[in-house]
Amino acid sequence: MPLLPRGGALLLAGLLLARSALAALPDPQIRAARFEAETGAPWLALVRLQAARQLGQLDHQARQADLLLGEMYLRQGLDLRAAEIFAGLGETGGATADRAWFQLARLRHRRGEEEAALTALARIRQPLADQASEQERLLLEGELLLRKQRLPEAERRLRRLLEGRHKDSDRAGYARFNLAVTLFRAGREDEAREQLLVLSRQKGKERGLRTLSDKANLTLAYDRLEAGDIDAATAYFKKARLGGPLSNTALMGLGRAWAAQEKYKKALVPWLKLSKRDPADPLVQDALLAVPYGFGKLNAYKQALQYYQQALNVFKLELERIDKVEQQVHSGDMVRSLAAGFTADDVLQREVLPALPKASGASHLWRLFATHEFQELLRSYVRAGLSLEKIARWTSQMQTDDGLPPASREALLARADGLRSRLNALSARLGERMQALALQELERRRKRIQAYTDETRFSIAQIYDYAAKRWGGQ
Amino acid sequence: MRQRLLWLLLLAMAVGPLRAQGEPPAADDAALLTEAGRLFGEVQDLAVAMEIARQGPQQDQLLVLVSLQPDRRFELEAVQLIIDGESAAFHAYSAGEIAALSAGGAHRLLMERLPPGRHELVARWLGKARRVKEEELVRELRWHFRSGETRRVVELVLSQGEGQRAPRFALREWQ
Repeated sequence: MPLLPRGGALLLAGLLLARSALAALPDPQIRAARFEAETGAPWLALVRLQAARQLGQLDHQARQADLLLGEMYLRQGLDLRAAEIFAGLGETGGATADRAWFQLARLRHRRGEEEAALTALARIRQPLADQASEQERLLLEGELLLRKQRLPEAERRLRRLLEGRHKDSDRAGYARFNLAVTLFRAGREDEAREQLLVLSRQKGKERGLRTLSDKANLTLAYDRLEAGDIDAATAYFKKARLGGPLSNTALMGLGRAWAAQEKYKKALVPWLKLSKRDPADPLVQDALLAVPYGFGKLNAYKQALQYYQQALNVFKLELERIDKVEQQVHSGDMVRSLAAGFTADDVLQREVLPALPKASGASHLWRLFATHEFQELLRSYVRAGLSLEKIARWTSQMQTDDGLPPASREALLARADGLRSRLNALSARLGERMQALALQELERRRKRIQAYTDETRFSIAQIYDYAAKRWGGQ
Repeated sequence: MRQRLLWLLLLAMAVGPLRAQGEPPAADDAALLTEAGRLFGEVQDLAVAMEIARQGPQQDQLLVLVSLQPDRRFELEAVQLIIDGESAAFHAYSAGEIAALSAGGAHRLLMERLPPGRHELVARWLGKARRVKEEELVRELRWHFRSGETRRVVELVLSQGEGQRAPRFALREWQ
């Protein structure tokens, strides 16, 4: 790497660039924020951009700066700040305003504020400049309109997305599935099936598309099952992957399809497979009872008893596991363990789920962990911890930074101290709330398994009763 | 009937890739989350206040940024700044940074408080030129300015120089 001119190197005298040549460019401080965000320092970029705005250094390009500032707030999970900026920019008109309404709609949707999201989307005047954002807008609006039962409008948005380019993208897959739901709700079931068939035939490698394809197959399978077309239902159940996230549903459904034809031997194959999976899943618990039921239908009472007994043992074990998890929740270990599985980056990625703690029986809480409410609480809890770490670091920096004027230092240290107390209090409240939700969920689980246990005991008693009547107690 | 319900359940799962499952938080949780959001905003404000306090008076500041437009004739490797004969900054660019610059970003190379008065800034672009015998090249530019009156924001621009045989190395002062 040359540090100084070498032989053969050329030297140019100073040249000041004509101002008009770069007049259309954003201020370099705005571009610097983009550069820092792109090269791994998004938080620093935000701090500097916010400082530049506060100092009035970007007043000449306020709209561009604010749009970027809003997007950066969003990326850093500062939703309230982002919403304020986007709402203000939205009133200014033009492409910047459209982009701001779009971002505001995404934010509102993410927070579950559907009406507000639709209102923001309705303010967009022109298609968004980049294809991906425009696709996302149509998908989002279609989904929200569908939820509001505004079916013709939902259909128009979703069809427009499907008419565009990138028909095989994840977003197009979701749009097609939602279009099927829209058509079904509008009473156009044949058209809905056609859309599901397209998804069923899709052979993409992307995980999202394959899951959608599985979902389409399962929906078609249950549709055929209801129509009494058992062969077609079976074929669709078989098309759903047995290793995918919906595989438990597929296995249960396939067993039901065979059982509907009274082919219990065949029904037992998927049910047995399912019964060996994680017993925290309610479908596996169903399978644990479906297996002895199937044997009973085949008059194989000895095996039926054996599997009922096995189910009892599994349920007993699960109840014990629930007790253990409950203790972990009470002690705070569960929340701490969940928080430890989240990195600082994860906390900003809304799509990332926390890693499941390795504690025995923790899978009983998986569905709770995946809910919007719990995730938001957990993210805030983790964030409070990260903020406390930052404040501790800044405090020690402020104490040793000679560049800070003494009066500023005192004021900043006092602010840091106040924030530390409030963050500690917030963290405790968030932890308590998550504990309460987890205990409620565990109680629901316990009641369900208790009911299954009672049902199993009753079935065992029925078999003994039947045997006593038939064989006289032998 | 149960199968019908399952079918409806599957069809109801029309959530796009944009949000987690489930209903929005209950009112109490929503209030707690809003309070948390406000507090995180205040933590952010503290970081900004620290940044502003560290910057000191604006009229003493010199901010130098680097930008480029991709040009096959010159491959940027590093930029060096010399102020009043003293080396003030040197940065060697990684491939990722060059990509971010090429995408329209600007690198904040130097933020310095200078004593009031006249100063000389020398900017050096170091890199490789393909059509030159000795590939390693240095382009140098000198700029004289006064500090202590107003904040100076300077952009070192490597542009394609339309219609020219060589890329263009320039300095632009923003106001």
